[in-house]
Amino acid sequence: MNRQNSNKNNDHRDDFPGSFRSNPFHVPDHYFDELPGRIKSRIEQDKSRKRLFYLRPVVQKALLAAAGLALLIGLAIALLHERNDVHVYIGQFNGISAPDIEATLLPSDLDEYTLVSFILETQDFTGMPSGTDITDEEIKSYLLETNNIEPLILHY
Amino acid sequence: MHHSDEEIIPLIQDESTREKGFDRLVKAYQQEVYWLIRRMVIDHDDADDLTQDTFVKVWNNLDRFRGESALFTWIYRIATNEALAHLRKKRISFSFLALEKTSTAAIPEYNDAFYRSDNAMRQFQKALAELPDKQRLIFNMKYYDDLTYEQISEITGTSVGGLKATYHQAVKKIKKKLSLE
Repeated sequence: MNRQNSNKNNDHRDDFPGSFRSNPFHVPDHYFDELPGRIKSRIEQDKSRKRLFYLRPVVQKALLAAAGLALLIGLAIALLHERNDVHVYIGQFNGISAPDIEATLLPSDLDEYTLVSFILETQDFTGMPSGTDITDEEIKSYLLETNNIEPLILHY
Repeated sequence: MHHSDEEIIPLIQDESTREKGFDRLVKAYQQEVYWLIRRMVIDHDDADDLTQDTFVKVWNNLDRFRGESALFTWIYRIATNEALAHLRKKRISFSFLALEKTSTAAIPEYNDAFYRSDNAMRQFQKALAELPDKQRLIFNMKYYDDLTYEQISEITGTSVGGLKATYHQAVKKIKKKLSLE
């Protein structure tokens, strides 16, 4: 026993019958033989958890770097996508109905020159009925001289 | 064979022999720590967990043990703190009145004590369990563990005078309950 107590001051033992001091509880067989091993296991688990904890700042830094990289890539993709949208938008005019185009173009800031360039670049005038003796130069000059060309184009 | 504190302390204070010293410490104190906790929390599984927790804390703080207090006082202090904190957390109600109204089979931790006890012993355990946690702790240390008031004072941080009063109050309460039943 590691605590050296004097037995002189044991009056408290007389407070109740001696049988009351007997232990009413019991433990599983070999419990105290196995307990030291289980305590050691707990300590080992504790050490492993601490090792993980020490790694955590490294992992956090790596995750932060990865998140930053992902953000940069995301921004780059968004910017490229936005630029592509303009091309897709113009390129898709042929498949869109006139009311849709009207609804899109009328509130827009597009000027006539842009629209003329667009029509000249994309429309094929070679299939037009014969007898309409209008040259490309005349069409171009007409379009350039007409201020409000948008409704004309939209109703074409 | 259990080693004495005089053998254990130099081993745990030297880092190169700390593990060996701790093994000896566990073997020397495991039963005292377990029973101290078990008498407080009653349930074996809880007592088992808390005993392990106690020794894990002892291990983690071995380098802080300066030998200013006795080794057993230091370990007991950790164990009592673990037990009291557990009881606070679980708010265990040792309501034996409620227990008797229901089936004791529903509460296995008490079956253990009850099956092995005669009626007088049961009444004693019941009265003891109804004491407030800290009063019960002091009673257990004095009555079962034979600690001196000075030792209990070192463990609990309560004055010797306060401990004497607490112990006698506990004895009085238990006797009163036993005489009434």
